[in-house]
Amino acid sequence: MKEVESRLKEEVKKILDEVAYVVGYQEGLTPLSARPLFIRNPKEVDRLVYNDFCAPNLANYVKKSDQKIGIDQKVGLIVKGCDCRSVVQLLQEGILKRENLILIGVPCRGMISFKKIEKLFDPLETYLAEVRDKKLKVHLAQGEESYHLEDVVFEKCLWCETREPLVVDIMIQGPLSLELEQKEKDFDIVELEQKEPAELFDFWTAQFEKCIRCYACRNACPLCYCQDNCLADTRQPHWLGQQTDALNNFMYHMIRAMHVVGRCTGCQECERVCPVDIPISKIFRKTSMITQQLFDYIPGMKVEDVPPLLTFKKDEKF
Amino acid sequence: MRIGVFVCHCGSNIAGTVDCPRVVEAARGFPHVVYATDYTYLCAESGQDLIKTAIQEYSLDRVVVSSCSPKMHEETFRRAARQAGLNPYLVEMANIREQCSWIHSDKEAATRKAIDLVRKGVFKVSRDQELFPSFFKVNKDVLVIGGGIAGIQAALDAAQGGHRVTLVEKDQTIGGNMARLDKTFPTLDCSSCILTPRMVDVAVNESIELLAYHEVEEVKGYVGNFDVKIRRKATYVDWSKCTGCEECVGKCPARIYDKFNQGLGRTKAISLPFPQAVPKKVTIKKDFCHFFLKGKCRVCEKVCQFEAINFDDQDQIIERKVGAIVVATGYEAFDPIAYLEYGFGKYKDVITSLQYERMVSASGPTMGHIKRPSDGEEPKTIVFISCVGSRDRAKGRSYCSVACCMAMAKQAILTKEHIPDSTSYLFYIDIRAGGKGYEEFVDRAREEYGAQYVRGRVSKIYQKGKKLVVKGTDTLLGMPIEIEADLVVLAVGIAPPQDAPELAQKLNISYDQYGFFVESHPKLRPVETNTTGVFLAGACQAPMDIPASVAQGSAAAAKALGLLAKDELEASPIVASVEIKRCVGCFKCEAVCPFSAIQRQELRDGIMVSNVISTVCKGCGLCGVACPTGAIKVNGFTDEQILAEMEALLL
Repeated sequence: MKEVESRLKEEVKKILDEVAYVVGYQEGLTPLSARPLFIRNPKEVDRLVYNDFCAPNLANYVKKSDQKIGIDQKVGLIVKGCDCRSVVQLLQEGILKRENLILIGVPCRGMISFKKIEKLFDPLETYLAEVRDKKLKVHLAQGEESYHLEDVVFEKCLWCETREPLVVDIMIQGPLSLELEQKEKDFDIVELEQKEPAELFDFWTAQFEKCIRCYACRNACPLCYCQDNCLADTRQPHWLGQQTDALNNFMYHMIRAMHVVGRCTGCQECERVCPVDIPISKIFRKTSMITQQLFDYIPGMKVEDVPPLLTFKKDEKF
Repeated sequence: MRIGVFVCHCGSNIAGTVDCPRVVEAARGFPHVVYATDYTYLCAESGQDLIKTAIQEYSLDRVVVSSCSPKMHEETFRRAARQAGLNPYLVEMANIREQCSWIHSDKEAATRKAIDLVRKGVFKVSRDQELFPSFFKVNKDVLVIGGGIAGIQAALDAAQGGHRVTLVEKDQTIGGNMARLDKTFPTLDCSSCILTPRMVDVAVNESIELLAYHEVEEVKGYVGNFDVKIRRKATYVDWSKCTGCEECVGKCPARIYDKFNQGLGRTKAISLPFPQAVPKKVTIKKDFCHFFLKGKCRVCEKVCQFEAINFDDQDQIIERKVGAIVVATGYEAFDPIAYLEYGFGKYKDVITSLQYERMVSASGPTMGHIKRPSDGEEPKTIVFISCVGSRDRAKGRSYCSVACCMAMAKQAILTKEHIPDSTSYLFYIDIRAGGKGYEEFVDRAREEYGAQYVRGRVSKIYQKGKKLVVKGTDTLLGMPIEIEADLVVLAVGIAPPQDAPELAQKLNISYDQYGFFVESHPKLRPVETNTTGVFLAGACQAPMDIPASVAQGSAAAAKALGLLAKDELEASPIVASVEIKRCVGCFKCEAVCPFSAIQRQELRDGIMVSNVISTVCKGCGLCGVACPTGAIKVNGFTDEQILAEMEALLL
C-alpha cells in the first residue's frame, strides 16, 4: 500500500494545476483512522495518505461544495470502488457534472473498521499499525498484538463486488484483496427477513429508541443533498417533531429511507458514522434489493443509467 | 379568520343518507367557523345567492361548500365567491356526495364521515391563500396535422373563421383514406366527387398554407404559443416548377409498390398517387429510384420540360408558431396477415376491403372492373368477412371499427351493380347500422341487391382448384356452411397509424392501448385533449365514418376558434412553483414532468435552478413528489394544506 500511496501523490501533483482542489485522505486522530484532506497546493500533498484505514466516502465532499451544476470548477476526487458508485449515482441524478471531475481511482482490498478495533484495543494508544499475513499488527504500550483481519474489516468489504472503481480518469493499480474468506452479500438482511413483522417492529423500535438525532447518518450520506432544506429540520410544513422519541425517530429514518430508495449504493457511511450503532443501512440495502428486483436496476453502476424513479416505462407493472 | 360552511342536500342525493342539519351543527364547532347552514340545492341560483349573501353579511373570508365532487361544481362556487368579492381560491369543496352519500347506506356512519370530510375542508381552507390567474398573449394561427377529410374540414373552417392555417400532410397529397373510396354509404355518392372540391378549396384558400409531404418533427410551448418544427421531406422535385404533367412518370423505369392503391397494381418511383391529387406534384421515392440505387438513369430529368427534377434535394426543417393544434391523423387499415386462417398474402384472391374499394373505383388500377387478382377473371361468388381486426379479443382488438358493416353492405351493392349475375355472401357477427339512413341501406342491400347475410365467423379458407373454399358456421341455423368463392374480401378494421404514439408523445397527449388519441372527456369534451390547445378530429381518436369525421373536424375547428377568439388567455393559478433557495438543481422535476413545463433558469452566480412555466403547468404535482428538497409546491395543494387535512382526519 505504501507504493500505491506514493504513486497517488505523484498523480495528484500532476493534476493540481487543472483543478481547484483535490479531495483525498490524511491521517486522522490516530494512524488507524483517516479524515478528508483538501489539497490546493503541492505542499499539502505531503499530508496525503492512503492505507487500509481510509474508510470515509469522499464523494460526500464534492457534492456539497460549489460543484453545483452550472459552476464550472474542476475538482479532483480520490475514489475507492464503493465510493465511485456514489459518484456515478450523483452523476446520474445530475448533481455532479462528469466534465467537472477528475476521478483518481485507488485500489481497495477492504478497509479496517475503527468501530471494530475500538472494541479490541484503544486505538488512541496505538503508535504503529500494519496489515501483514492476513493479520492486523499493532504496537500498543504493553507490546505488540495481532488480530485476525476478518474480525476488523468492515462487513461490506467481505462481500464487495466493486473493489475497482467503475468510472475513473486515472487508475492507480495495486492489491485488490486481502484474500479473506468472503461472506454472502447482505446475509445480515436475509437473517432479518426471517423475523415476524411484530418482532421486526420491536427490533427497529429498540434501535430507534437509541437514536439521538445527531443527523450524522444524513450528513455522511453522499445521496442526501437537500442541504438546508431537510424535511427533518423544517418546521413548515411540520413533518415530524424534534423530540428524540422512538416515534419521531422512526418517522425521521423512514423519511430518509423513502428518500434513498432505489438510489442507495450501499456504501454504509450512515452506519460507520452512527455514534449509537444503529444498523440503519439494513433498511436502505433492503429497499435496494426490492428496487433491483422490480426494475432490474442497481444504483451507481453506469453513468448513463436512468434511476427507476425518474422514468416511466409503459410495461412497468408497479 | 371567518369561515363559512355550506352543506348541500342535493335533493335526497345527500340528505337521504347524511343527516345534513347534524353536519351543520358539528361544523359550527370547528375552528374559525362563524357561519354554517344547509340548503336543498346550493348549485341552484338561489343556493348561490345564499352563499353570496352570507359572505357579505357575515364578512366571510373563507368558504367550505360541502356538496358534490369539485369536478362537478367547484367552478360554480368559485364564481359565486368571486361575485361576492372573495378570492375564488379561498373556496374549498368537501365532497360528501360521490365520496360519501352515494357509496354508503348506513346513515349514522355516513353522517359521521360527512362531518370528518367537512372538518378536513375547514382545516384546509384555513391554510388557503389568495391566488391570482396569470394572463398571456395568444398566437392566432392554427396548425392542422393530417390532410384527410377531418383535417381538411378543420382547416377550411378555421380559415373561414379568419385564422391563418398550416395544414401538414405526411403524404404527397391530401385526401387521406377517403380518396381511396369509390362510393360512400348510405347515399352511394362518389367519394372523389364530393372530396376533391374540398381538396381544391384547401389549395386555393389564401389563408391555408398547405404543407404536403411534410411531417411534424417537434412541438414545444403551450396553448396559444406552440413552437412547431416541421420536416419537409425531400421530394427531389422542385414543386414550384412541377406542373403534374406526369411526363416523367411514363418514362420512369422503376415499378414499385403502389401504396395509394393498397398494393393492387404498381406505380413508379416518380409518381402522382392519383389524378386528382392536391397538390398535383410528383415526388421521387428515393429508396426505389434507379439513380439513387445504381447511380444511373436520370430519365425523369431528361424528359422534364420544366427542369423541376432536383436530385440534390434535402430534408428541411421549417418552423411555425401557432396558437392551437388540430390533430387529424386518421387511420390505417388493419393488416389481416395476423389471421392465418384467412390466408391473406397466401391466396391472391383474398383481398382487403380497401383493396376492393380501389378495384371498384373507376380511377383504380383495374379501371373499375372487378377482377380476380390471380387470373383477371370476373368473380361470380364473392364472400365478405366482417370484423377482421375488430371485436376480436384474441387478436388484441376488442373494439368495433364502426364503419366496416356499412362499407361491407355498400360493397355488396356495388358488386351487384358491376356484376349483375354475382352473389355476395356476407359473414357478420352483428350488423351495426346505427346512423341516419344506415339500417335502411342494409335493408336495401339485402332486399334489392340480394346480399346473402350469414351470421357467423369463418374458420378456414383454402384453395380448391380455381376456387377458394370458405368454411364457417351459420350460427342462426346452427349448421356448418361451406361456400366455394371466387373472391374473398376481408372487411378490415380501423387501426391507428403505427406512428400515432410517437406523435402523441411529441404533442404531450394521451393515447390508449391501441394507439387512438384520448379525448379529455368521452362525452362532454370529445374533441379536446388533456393538453389545452390541442384538439382531435376524425379517426385518430376512435374508429368513425365520414360524417362523424367531418363533424369532428368542424367541432375541433370551432373549439380552436373559441380559444383563439380572445387576445389573452387566463392561466390557472393552481400550478407548481419553485422556491428557488431550496432548489438544488437536480432537475428530477424536469425528468418527470409530463408537460415539459420545467425550464432551467440560471441565477446570477451561475447556479442552475428549476423554473415552472406556469402557463404550461397543469398542476399535476408530479414534480412536487419528485423534488427531494420540497422546493416545489403546487398552489392550492401545498404540503401545509395537505398536512392540515391529514391532521383533521386522523388526529
